Formats: sequence, structure tokens, C-alpha cells
Amino acid sequence: MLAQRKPGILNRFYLIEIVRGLWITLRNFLFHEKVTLQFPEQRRDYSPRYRGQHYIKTVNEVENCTACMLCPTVCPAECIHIVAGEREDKEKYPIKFEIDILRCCFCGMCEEACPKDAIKLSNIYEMSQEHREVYTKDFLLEQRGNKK
Amino acid sequence: MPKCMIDGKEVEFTAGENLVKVAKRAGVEIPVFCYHPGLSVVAQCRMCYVEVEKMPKLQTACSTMATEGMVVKTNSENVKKGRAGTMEFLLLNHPLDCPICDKAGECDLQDNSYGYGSAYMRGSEERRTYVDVNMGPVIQKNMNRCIHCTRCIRFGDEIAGIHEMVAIKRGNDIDITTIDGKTLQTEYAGNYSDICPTGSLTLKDFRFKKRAWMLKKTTTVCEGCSKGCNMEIQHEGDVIYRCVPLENLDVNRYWMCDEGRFNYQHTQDPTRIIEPKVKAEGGWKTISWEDGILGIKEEIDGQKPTFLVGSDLTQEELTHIKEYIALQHPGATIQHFGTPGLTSTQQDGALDQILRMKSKTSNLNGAEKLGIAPLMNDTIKADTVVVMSAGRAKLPKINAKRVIAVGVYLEGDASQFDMILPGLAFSEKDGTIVNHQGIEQKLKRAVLPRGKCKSLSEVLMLLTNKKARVGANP
Amino acid sequence: MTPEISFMLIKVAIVLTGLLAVVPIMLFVERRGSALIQNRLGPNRMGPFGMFQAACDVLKFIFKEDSTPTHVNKFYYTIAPWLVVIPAFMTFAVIPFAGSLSMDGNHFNFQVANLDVGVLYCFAIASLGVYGIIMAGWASNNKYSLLGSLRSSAQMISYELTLGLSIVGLMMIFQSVRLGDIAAAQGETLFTVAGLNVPKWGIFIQPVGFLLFLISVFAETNRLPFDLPEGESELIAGYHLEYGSMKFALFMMGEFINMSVASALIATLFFGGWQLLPGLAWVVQQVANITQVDVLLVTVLFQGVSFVIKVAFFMWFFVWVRWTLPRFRFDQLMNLGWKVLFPLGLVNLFVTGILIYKGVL
Repeated sequence: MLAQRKPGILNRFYLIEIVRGLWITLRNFLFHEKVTLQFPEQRRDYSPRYRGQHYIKTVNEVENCTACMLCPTVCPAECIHIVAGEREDKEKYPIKFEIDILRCCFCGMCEEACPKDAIKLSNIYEMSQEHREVYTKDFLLEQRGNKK
Repeated sequence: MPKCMIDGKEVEFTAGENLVKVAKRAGVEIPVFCYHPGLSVVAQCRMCYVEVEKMPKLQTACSTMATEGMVVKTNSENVKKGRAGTMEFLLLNHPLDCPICDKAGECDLQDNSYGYGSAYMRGSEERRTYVDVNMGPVIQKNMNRCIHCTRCIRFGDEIAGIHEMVAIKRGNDIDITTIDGKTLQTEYAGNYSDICPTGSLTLKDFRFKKRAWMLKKTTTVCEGCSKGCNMEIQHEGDVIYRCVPLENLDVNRYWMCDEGRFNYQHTQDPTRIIEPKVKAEGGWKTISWEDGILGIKEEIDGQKPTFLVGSDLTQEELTHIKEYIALQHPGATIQHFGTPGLTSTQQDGALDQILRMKSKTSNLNGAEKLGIAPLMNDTIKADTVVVMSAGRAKLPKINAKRVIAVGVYLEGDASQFDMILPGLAFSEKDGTIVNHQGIEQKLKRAVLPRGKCKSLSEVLMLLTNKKARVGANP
Repeated sequence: MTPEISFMLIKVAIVLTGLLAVVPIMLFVERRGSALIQNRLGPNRMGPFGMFQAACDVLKFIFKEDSTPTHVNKFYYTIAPWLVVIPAFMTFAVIPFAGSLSMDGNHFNFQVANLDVGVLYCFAIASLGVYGIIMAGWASNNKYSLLGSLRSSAQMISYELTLGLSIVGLMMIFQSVRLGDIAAAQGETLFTVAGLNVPKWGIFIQPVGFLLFLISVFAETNRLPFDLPEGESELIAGYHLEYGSMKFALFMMGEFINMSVASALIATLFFGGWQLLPGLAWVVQQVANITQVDVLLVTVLFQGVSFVIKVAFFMWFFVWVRWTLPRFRFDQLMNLGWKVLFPLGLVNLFVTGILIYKGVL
């Protein structure tokens, strides 16, 4: 049950409280620091642990990924699709590495599971697209927002 | 029966049983690498250490036979220390490439390291590396991962009957390889991959296709020959990735031949006919099931066509066909075919000392038991012939006006046919087959039928019905 | 065309353009004011300080598709917004925005219509606005709209009583209902404290009346904390739920113009109307001396400026209160109207009568 609180006579005479309220809003109007961030020009600093757009880390322009399939295994949204293959300079590499970004829930488990430090979630958070985007390997290999 | 104590449990045993087997029966697992129940015991990996009372040192369980009143501890501090030490030695040179190793997920080394080893590596020396030899089309070798358990050498010696793998050099430089770097000759090469406790021998066919933990497993029977080896189809979605043998001491023990192992490939062949087709001018024309059923009815209704059934069909399908003929075409001839030049179980026999049989169809014995006559001379001359098979039976030469085929066929087989209705392969249906010993074994459906394939029973039912009402695919 | 008629037309033009200009200005003030009160910045991209944002809003309203839902009563649905806007404009007719001026034998009265009924005309016409709201709610054929308009009518009727009562005291004191007379009468000095003349503004002689009027006027204009007819949380948007584009803009326009009329009434009745703000008399004298223009003309100009400043303050006050107070519940609104404000108005009237009888006022 809701506790019934009997306000004092001064509180019940609302005008004093209203004037105090008006003073608070006026103070905010005139003096308070404005918290708005002018977005495209100003940007908030995100934590390095922020989980944004994915990329595959490369070292000397060779992808770290060995197509071990741990990220599709751990992915709760099942949005990662990898086809493994073999090439001259690398025993196992992903021929196809696709992230269905619309299904992704940005939990970061792929990054956590990766034994090769290959799939990473960057600080990039502007990912709106005009069509249903599937990130291809070429796109993921661009070192956007490399966290090092 | 003599008794012994393992970890405080009293277990009965027969004389000559080693401690690994006895402990397994008691529900105690002893980790092993070199020991394999189907191979001789060498006790060289030292993983199966156990403490036996009144013995001063740790004993290897695989080479220690149980004796009356023996008291064994598999979990004492001493044993744990011994196992951890062994694990550390084995991992000294083992590369940390589990992410790219096909064995990962079903690897004895991974499991035992996780269960009994240390999480940390004390050594800092560089690991040895090898240049690998080509082992032929079946097996991919990676000597870096080898822990010298010599299971492969013993398998070649004792089971495959061909001494092709050897250990050359000694100590740290040891190299397990083929003699003179030849490719593998045996017909049972796939087993090397199965018995290898690490990823040093893996299947080329399965290389990098899927990770082991992603596969679903269906227990079924091989349809490659009349042996009827028990096996497991490993698949994900509706794609089969590989088949591995299952233990059945009455039939195939632990092994399987390459022919049976890769037999699943024809069911996923892109040239497999998966839609009803009819021969038209200059090739094949795809038709609907209704048209196909009606077309066949037009051809055979009220007549006596010759029925040729493959001895690769299951008992259920063969029975259904017999009933159908008795009902719809009384008096029509029915003959089974399968392997050229092989008409009865009397002629069937072992092709080699191990598993493979002469009959290349799985249910020759069953067809004979159902009283279906064999097709002689591998040729047939008739007015109208209806061929039914599951894709394994070798087609005879057919000399007829109209040939109607039901079952699994590749485009290459289809040249003699006028009309084809696609059927189910062994991995897509349930059923019973009878092997050469007379053992009845079950086929189990692992994947959904491809395309518009329908079971033979459904086709026969549609042919029996007055109207051809065809439901959706299962 | 006689000078009277042309002057009349000029006055009408000034009032109309002024009221129309109020709408975009208030749009801007409302949006940026609310933002600054909430420690935000508000729209600041279009033009200096985001001033052209209001123009953009207006353009958007004009060019938006004007769709009419199929389930509405077309006739009433269409005329309802006009029935809100037109009375709002009409109300301003009797409000004087500067003192009268006699020059060259011509007498200029800065008031569109100097009616005998004066402030009563204001209330009469303003009450017509409720028809627009009720029509909008009923014609929309939507339960939320109907509830909104029902609340609106109940609220308007309840608070109109207090609204009327609160200024009866003022009428008794000034012995007139003509707004021009009331404004002019407030120029007198009430008393002098330490050399400072306190004018005889309505707020000083009728403080309780002012409070009642202020509160009722908030209710009459449907502004927060009494915007129950719109009540977003429970009625989505109330009576204008089914309206879009320019039709909705008309409702908004009506609200802003009502606000400006209310502000003008507060200024005229309680803050001396066009009377010069304290200190402006000296400025007028200086300007007249420097520019060699007739003092009377300059005075009228500065009277207009004073009036605009007073009105602007109260319009800002409307915005200020809106972003300070939360919305009342309907039963609270009714309790306040009937159980507090109405008796208080009667008491105020009684006390004023006694004071007048005793000769204090």
C-alpha cells in the first residue's frame, strides 16, 4: 500500500514550491552547462572496450584469421559464415568470411573466442546502411578503427 | 570369475584382460594414446599409468593384466603426477595449431591434455618441424603434430596387412613416414585418420570442410558391400561431410574400407538425377511427379513388365515391390541384380582378408531370403522393363522397348532409360539390410532427400492408387 | 478614404501581422527555451542561433501532405481548426497597445475596436474557441480525440467562472470594463515609498485576483500544467490526434495566439497595459530632446514598446512554466478549479467590495 504522507500547510500551498521550481528552471536556463554534443563535429570518446563494427586484424597485410570456426561456434546470433581454404603462404585461411551484420547482437563473444586475435570489434558505431548489409571479407579486412 | 579392485570398486574379469578394459567396465576411465583395443599393446606413450599395490613403480595399465586380488588406484597423487609429466613430454614438440587442425574437437591429445595435463608450458625451446611427404589421395600428413604412438604402424602391420608406415631415425629426430616416401597403398587408408590420436594423419576429403564439433551424427550401416560395416554419418544441415566406422566386433570390428567410407559422395553428386525426367528429343525433359506417375501407369497398367530390382534395396522396399507386383501385375517376372557375375550368396565371399566382400551391394542375402530370382548373364531382353535400385547396384545391359527407372541414378547411368523417377539413397531412408552373415542391421535417415526425390514405397503407393495425387516433399 | 478608416486599416494590419509573427517566434522560443531549461542546446543549425528553424518548421507544415482520414465527419473536421484560430485573432481586437493620441485635431486610439463591453467581449469570443476543440474531437471519430475535447470543454467552463470572477474586483475599482479605460487608469500613482512612485497597477490593488486570473488563463489556453485535453501520456494528442500538416498547424497557431492574447490581457489588466515601464519616461524625454520629434509621438511609440515587452515577458512565462511544472491529473484540476479557485474568487470579490465601501481603494 502506498504510504500516505500528509504535507505541511506550506507545502500544500503550492505557490511557494512552484516559485522554487521556477527558480530552478531559470537557473538551468541561464547558467547551467549544456550537455549536448554537436554530433558530426564533436564526438564522444568511447571506451576502448566498446563493441562496434567488426574488422579482421591483419599483420603485414596477412589476415590473422585461420578459419578455426570458433567465432561462428560461439556466436549466439549465428551471423558469422566462414568457408576455409588453403593457399601457398598460409595453411588455412578463410576463403569466405561473412558477417550478417543485421543479425549481429554485438555481444563480443567472437572477439573473446578468437585464439588468433583476428576478429575484433572496433569503436566505430555509425553503421547505418541503405540496404541489408552483409560484411564481406574484403570489407572486414580494411583496418577501420584499429585498436592495436 | 576372478575379481580385482579398481579405485575401491570390485570388478570381475576374465583372465588375460588388461587393466584399461577392466577399468572401463568399472566405469573408470584411464587415458590412453598408443593403446587401441583392435591393435597390439606396446605401452610406449606412458599415458595409462596406474598405481598397483605392492608394485614399487607406476604401471602402464594397457600392458598390465588384471590378476586375482589386484588393488589398482587410478587417481592417486602419484598417478596424477605421472600423467601430467607424460603430457608435458608429449606436448614438448606439439604445435599449438588447434585452430587449423581438423582433429580439433575430437582429438585425444586435446581431451587428455585438458583432463590430465598442465595448463602451462615450461619449455621455451623451438619446436621441431618436418617437411611432409605426400601420402596419397586419402591421407594428409602433418608430422609436426605426431606423438609417436605408432598406432598407424601397427594398423598397417596387423590389420591392413601391409607394412607401409615405419618410424625412421631415433630420439628427437624420429619420423613416422612411409617406406621410401611412397604413397599409401592400402584400401583401408581412411582408418589411419580414425586411429591417429592427434591431427598428424587427417582425411584429405574432409580437410577444412567443417569443424568436428559442428557435425551431427547418425548411426547407420554402410551399403558398400555385403559386409554391412557399422558406421556413423556425420552431417550438418543436409550435407554429409564424412563417414566414420563404429565398433561392432561381430561385423567390422573397428575398421572400414575406403570404398565404403567415401560411398556417400555419389548421393551428393551434382549429376544425380533429383527430379522426375523423361527422355525427349535431344536430351532429358523435367516433368512433374503427377505426369511421371501417370506416364508410368499408361505404360505398365494391366501389362506384365519385367521388374529388375537392385540388391541394394532394403528388405522393406523389396517386400513392398513384391506385394505391388502380386497386386497390380500378377505373374510378372522379378529379378534382382547387383554385382556383375555374382548371382547368389554362394558365390559371394571375402575379397581380401579384412572386410571387403565380392558382392558390391548390401542386401544380396536379404533379396535371396525374400525369394527373388537373380538376373543371369547381366543382360535382359524384354518388352518393358522397370528398374528399381538405390544407386549402388551395377546396372545390367537392358535390351527393351521401354525402360522405366526408379531410384538413385547419376546422369552417366541414365542413357538406357526412357523415364526416371528419383528415389532415396541409403543416407536418406530408414530400412533393414541383411549382411552376408545373415545379421539384420538398420539403415537410419541422416539427411533429407535431395530435390524432389521420393521413397520407393511412396512411388509404389502412387502407382497403386487410381489417381496420382502427389503430396509435398517430406 | 477618411483618415479614420485608413488608420483603422493600419491598426488591423499591425495587429494581424504582429499576431502572425508571434507564431514562428514562439515556435523558436518554445523549442530553444525548453532545450536550455533541460540543459540541451535545441535546434541551432538553421541560421544564427537556429532562428530559421521556425521558418523551416512552417515550410514543412505547408508542404506536408494534407490527408484526411476516411472515418471522420469531413465538414466539421475541416472547419474545426478555423473555429479555433479565428476567435483567437478576434479576441485581440479590444486590447489597447498604446495610449490615445490627439494631433492636428485628429484623435487616434491605438486599439482596433474600443468596445463598451471591452473585456467581456474578450471572454465571450475566447469561449467560442472551445467549439473548435469540441468539433475537432467529435468529428475525428476517435475515442482519444473525443475524450480530449470533453475534458477541454469541462475545463474551459470550470475555469471561465474563476476567470470572470477574478477581474470583477478590478472592474469595481476602475468602474469600467473598457480595457482602454482600465489601462489608462493604471497610470495613477498608488502610493510613494522612499521617493519611488508605485503605480496603481492591477497586481498591486488586486494581488489575489491576479493570481486567480493567471492560473485560470493557463487553464483557458490549455497550456501546461493544465494541458489535459492533449495529455500525451493518456490521450496521445487529444483533440488534434487525427490532424496533420496545415490543419494541425492551425491548432498550434490558435494555441500560440491564445497565449499572446492571454499575455496581453494579463499585461493590460494587472501590469498597466501600455503604461510606460518604470524609467522609460526619462528615456522618452531624452529621445524627444535629441530627435526634436513631438514628445507625444515618442511617448506613443514607447508605450507600444512597453506593451510588447510586457506581453513578451508573459509569453516567456508561459513557456517557462510549461517546462517547470508537470501536468495535473483531471480530478486535481477540477478540485483546484471548483474547491479552491472559485471560493477564493468569491472571497476576493467580497473583500474588495468591503474595502471599496470603506473607501480604502
